[in-house]
Amino acid sequence: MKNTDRLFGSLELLVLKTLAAGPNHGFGITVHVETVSKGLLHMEEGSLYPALHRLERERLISGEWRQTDNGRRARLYTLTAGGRKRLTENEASWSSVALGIERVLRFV
Amino acid sequence: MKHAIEWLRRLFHRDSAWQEEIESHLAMRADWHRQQGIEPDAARTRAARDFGSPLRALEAVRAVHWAPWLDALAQDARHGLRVIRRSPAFSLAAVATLAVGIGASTAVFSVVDLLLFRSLPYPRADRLVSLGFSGPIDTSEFNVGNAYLDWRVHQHASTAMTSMYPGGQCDLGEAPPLRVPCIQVEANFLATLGIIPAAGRDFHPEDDRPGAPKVALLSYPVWQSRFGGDPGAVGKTISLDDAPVRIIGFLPRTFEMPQLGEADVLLAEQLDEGVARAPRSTVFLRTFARLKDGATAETARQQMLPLFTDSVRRYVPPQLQREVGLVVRSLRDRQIHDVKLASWLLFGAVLALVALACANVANLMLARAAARRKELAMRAALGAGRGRLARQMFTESLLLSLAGGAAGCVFAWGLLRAVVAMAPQALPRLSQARMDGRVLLFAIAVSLAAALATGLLPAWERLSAAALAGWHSAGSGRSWARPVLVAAQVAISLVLLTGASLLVRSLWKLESESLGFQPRRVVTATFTLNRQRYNSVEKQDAFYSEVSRSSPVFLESADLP
Repeated sequence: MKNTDRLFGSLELLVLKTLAAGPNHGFGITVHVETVSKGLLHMEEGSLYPALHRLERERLISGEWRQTDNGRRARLYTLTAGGRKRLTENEASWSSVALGIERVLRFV
Repeated sequence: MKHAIEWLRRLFHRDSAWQEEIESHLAMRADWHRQQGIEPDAARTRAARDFGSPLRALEAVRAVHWAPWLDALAQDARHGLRVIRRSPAFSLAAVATLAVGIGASTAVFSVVDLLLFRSLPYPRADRLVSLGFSGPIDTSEFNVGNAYLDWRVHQHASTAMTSMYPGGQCDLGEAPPLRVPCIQVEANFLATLGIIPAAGRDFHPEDDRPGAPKVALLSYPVWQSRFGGDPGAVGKTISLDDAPVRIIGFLPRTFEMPQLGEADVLLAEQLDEGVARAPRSTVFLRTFARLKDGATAETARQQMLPLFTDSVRRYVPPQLQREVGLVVRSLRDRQIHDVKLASWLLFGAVLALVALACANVANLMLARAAARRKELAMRAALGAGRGRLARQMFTESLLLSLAGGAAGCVFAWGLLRAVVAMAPQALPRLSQARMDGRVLLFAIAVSLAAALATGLLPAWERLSAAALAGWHSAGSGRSWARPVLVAAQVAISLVLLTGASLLVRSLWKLESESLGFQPRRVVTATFTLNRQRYNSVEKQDAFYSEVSRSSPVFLESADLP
């Protein structure tokens, strides 16, 4: 995360949010984030995998080896119930943090 | 054990799965670039650039999985250290016991490793054999000139056969010359062993013809000390026994004679067929061969047997024919022939000593179990699982064993130096024994084995349900481990003590054995006389009588041929 990794937990938040739309593999997550942010956010691919494994250890997501549509083997991650709950919490706190920062920046 | 292997297998499997995940990402990214219309090669390069270092990513993934485990380990270690500090007398006794066991076995390993396990300094050394006659004359196999000449031509057992004269000395240099070991070898000697000179060339067949100009290969130490390691010294002339000899090359630093003898100078053998074939010829040789692929010393012996029988019939006097046999054995067996059994025995004895030390410490730990039952019961009540408690105990014995191993290494180092200083010739290669990486690895392996041995049994015992429930059962019939340990200790001690007392008895007999003469006030001395100046028996006799006349020490001197 070039633009956002100064904000704590943003990478995890984006991963959880992306997986909320359906199971996906690491590469799919980077493409999704880039496309949806219209190129504003660019994931640093090397640090995505440690994050995925950390989330899996915390049982927020679960991974499984599958065949992709174009015949490659990839590890697909699915959001668990715990992950869904964590996403809701983090979305709320992120919004308030973002709002707070926005207000500070706007103050002249 | 099975569990441990399964666990390791899963560990490696998991790690390769993490790698595969990263590789699959790179492949998909490359696919994606290709769909944007980039050449396949460029697509792969660009995918790699997008990703950054896959190794660093893999490291980070590993860290995610290992970190909690390492944390637990650190916690266990801290607790273990506290426990150890709380009972210093117990810990000191345990560490000292293990240090003696591990130290002794490490010191012995550093010696027997050279003899039994470490590969010899020749390429494909397992193919090299020593072969020849066994007989009452010599403890090692030897060959006679005319038999060797037959074998060399007619044998099919090996790809190359070579020979050397056993022993030999010459005077190197002038004023004053130095008496050095000087060995005559056949021209194909180094080639058969697979050794290439460090500088210069090997012997040519022409050098080996009787009467050819004398040429020599010098050892690495002589090259360094006399010529400062200068490769330009090849072609220079040196004086050997007051005759000029041209240097054709220098031996590599790691070179060893196959029979472990010393050799500062190698000369061409120049075996004269006429002399060797003459009746009553006394040409004795040592012979070595490189076996064909797939052949063993035993199959080679079978193949050589007809040739040998023929040689015995032709060249061995009838009254001796029954006393000779054919020997073909690996170079290693040749080198350690009379110490092979001793090495294994010594190694076995120190391993028994380690087992004894472990049994002792395990027993100490069991004895302490009573004192710690309350603590364990409390921790179990607070929610620590059996596995967690077992790991805790294992960490304690691991700490003790590693401390014992470290102290043992220091002990082994001292022991090794003492033994080498006291008896450098006691075993072949003893002076080469070092505490190197291999030996340290052995020490670590023994320490880990000791940790398993001393940790698992007490953990098993102490973690019985009764102990964890905190019942103070006075029942003594419950424990099976301590009687078994005590029995093992007594058994091992008995074996070791019996062996040691037999050894002492033999030594005592050797000391008190009558020599058949009065050894008191008798000393022996050896003189090295210049070969040219004292080139006849008369001149040598004159020297000795001069010495005994002029010296007050020599009350009597005996000249033996």
